[in-house]
Amino acid sequence: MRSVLAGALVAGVLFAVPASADAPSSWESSPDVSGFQALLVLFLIPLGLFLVISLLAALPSLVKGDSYEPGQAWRSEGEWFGGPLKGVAGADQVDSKQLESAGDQGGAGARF
Amino acid sequence: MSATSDGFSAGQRAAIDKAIREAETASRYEFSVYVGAADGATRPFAERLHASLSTPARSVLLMVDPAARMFEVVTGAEVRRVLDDGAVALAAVAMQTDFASGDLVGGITRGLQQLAGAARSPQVLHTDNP
Repeated sequence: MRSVLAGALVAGVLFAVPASADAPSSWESSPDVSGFQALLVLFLIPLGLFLVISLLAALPSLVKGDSYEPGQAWRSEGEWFGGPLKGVAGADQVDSKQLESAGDQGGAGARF
Repeated sequence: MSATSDGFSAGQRAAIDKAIREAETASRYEFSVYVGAADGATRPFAERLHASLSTPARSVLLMVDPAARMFEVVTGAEVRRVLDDGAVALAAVAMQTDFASGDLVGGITRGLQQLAGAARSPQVLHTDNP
């Protein structure tokens, strides 16, 4: 009995063949894909998308120039954080009377 | 020759805005920061900027002129009662270190933190009025 089982197992291994079956006739037959089409879909289109997205990401800094990095010289226009809506133009309109009404200003300054 | 820049990045602007908000929340005074070239002498220009704010008496202005390598802190009359010129000078020393190393954003945020910290310290009668 044991030898029969072992023989069946060995025969199963020796005579094993890949399973194969025809596609059902109701399925649509897929068109043949050429090598160029495969290359286009798998490599060229992703590469093109990569280049376009990279360009779009880099475009703002290319147009505006590089943003400030520590140690760089500053050449940009003035920026006022928390300033009035008029911006620096409002400061140009400040006269001596308004400056006096601002009160006793204090503070400190330094070079660096 | 050093490289040049075209202003702050969005992240750097956000960091400065955040530092301003935190300083205002901590001290209950108004803070604003101007970074750019002064039109004329630095101190009078900073004082004009400060005077053009909506509530100058309750405001602190930090003006940094990176090209001239100078900065000014202007405090309003009401703020000055709490944040005296000595405390501002201490904060200026801290900012000076960062600015000198080329770190504008770091100097601004550190300066605002220090100014706000000094502005919120309560006055104590037995030490302030001997």
